[in-house]
Amino acid sequence: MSRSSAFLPIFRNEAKLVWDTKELVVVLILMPLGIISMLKTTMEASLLASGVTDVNGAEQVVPGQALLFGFFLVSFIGLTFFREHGWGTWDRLRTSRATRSDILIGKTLPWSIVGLVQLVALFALGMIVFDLQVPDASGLLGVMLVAVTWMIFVSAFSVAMVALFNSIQMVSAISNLGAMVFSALGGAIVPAAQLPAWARAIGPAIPTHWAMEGFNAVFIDDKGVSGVLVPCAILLVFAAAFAAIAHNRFKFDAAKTSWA
Amino acid sequence: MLHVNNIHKSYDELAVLTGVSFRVAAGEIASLLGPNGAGKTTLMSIIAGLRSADAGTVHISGFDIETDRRSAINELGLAPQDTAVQLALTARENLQFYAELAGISRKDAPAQVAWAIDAMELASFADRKAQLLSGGERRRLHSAAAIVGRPTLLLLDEPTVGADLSTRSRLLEAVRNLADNGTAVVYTTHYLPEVEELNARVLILDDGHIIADGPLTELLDQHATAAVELSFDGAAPDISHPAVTVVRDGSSWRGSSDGDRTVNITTVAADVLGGLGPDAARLKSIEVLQGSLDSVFLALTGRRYKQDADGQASTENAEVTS
Repeated sequence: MSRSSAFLPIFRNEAKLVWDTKELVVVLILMPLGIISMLKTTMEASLLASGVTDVNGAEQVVPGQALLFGFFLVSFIGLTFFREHGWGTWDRLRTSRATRSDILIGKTLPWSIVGLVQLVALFALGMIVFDLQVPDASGLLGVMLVAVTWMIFVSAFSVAMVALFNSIQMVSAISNLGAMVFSALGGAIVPAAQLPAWARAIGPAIPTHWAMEGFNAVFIDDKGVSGVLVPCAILLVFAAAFAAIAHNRFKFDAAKTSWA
Repeated sequence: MLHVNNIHKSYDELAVLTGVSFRVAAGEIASLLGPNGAGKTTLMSIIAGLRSADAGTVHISGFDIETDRRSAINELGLAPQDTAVQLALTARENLQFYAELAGISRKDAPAQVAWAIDAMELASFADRKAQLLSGGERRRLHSAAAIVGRPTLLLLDEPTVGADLSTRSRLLEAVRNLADNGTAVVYTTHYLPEVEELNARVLILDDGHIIADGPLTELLDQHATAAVELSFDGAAPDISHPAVTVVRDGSSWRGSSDGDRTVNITTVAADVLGGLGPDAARLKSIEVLQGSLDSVFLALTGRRYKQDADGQASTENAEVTS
């Protein structure tokens, strides 16, 4: 009987569980689409008031809502870990030959891919339905770079939250609150230029701010891939910081409370 | 196969394990017995690498669970005390997942899954989601998930708690089958008849250490004592019987065989009842205790091993009469 690695079964199992909840993934795409359609005109006015010309509002509202709804993945990634505690199966994982990395990456990666699918779908539908400008090849590469680094950050942040908190309720609260606060302060809900001075001062400390900087570089400033390098690098620094927290604080023997 | 050496474990100031040592060979079934709070689950967790011991070592197939955890764990199958299955998966998907997690390739896993389904009689609900299974069905799946990887060391922590008779019977058969094929099994339970049915080697854990270790028949020969107990309304009468040692304590009367395996305690009970005369009217209850693990436990600890209706065991103090 041949022996194989433990990462793949964990990844496949999580991917199957994600697929079984595919309606949720559709909601994660449809809900922001609804909000985009409602806010596009308002955002056009908001961008024009900020001094930006030749825009239709999609440049702000599509990436903004994509980032806001992308942050909700924190609670879904959290649930993949807390669910194992609720089902009593966490100890089965711990007494399997799976390494820490097998478990952490195997359980997180399927949802990271869902996050990327969500972003790609929203941008694609934004271009088809909401007249979001289709960037050139360099711009498309830039958008993909921002999307990938953003999801790396969200994934690392999610695992760090699982490491820091012992209940799914707390991680869900962080996910919901974080989505709103990070999006607001990061210029994802309204353009950063429209925020009060104190919020603009805080902005650079918020990862969402740098993701929006990257998307703005492509969709508003037409800078192409060169315009996203600094924002992506900063997003990776945030991701590294939260990955370090996850690495240092994730206690595999910690008791966690799920829904029970 | 399994070598547990001088394990100590305390929680704060409470010493739970105080120098536990034993070995289990390939193909051997070792039943770990002990009252609630004796440290059985703590010991199982330490063997499985889920908890660290304060002192002592655990080696599985020669690999130290602390310093060579990955190699040691490769040999291991665990059924924790509480039911642990992936509720969103079907029974078959659960087994496929845990077979692959145990290192069996995706291609080879279905054959192992089919074996586990057959061993634990899961066929009628194999393609139903675990969340839709009854408690007993989930319990079967829980045990099947532990054995599907054909581990070389199988740890079963009270696997039959809450299980119906059929589930128990299937599990005991599967355990025997695995042991016959070389798996070492450590089996904690409160159901003493299961140990007798498995004819397992018995380890009795009490007050943090092993107080008895040996084949079931040997322990029965050394310590089992049959007894008959009568309880009266008022003082117990002064009755004697040549085959037993009698102790009277208030309203209770006990005749004990003192470990003499030739004594037929049922005959003694009939003789005593026949000789009660007018005291028979005051008789409230009679209990015949055959020479069993229950009486071994009594002889070694001075306490009765009593099971309640839920199968959760507790011990009660009793005067040892032999």
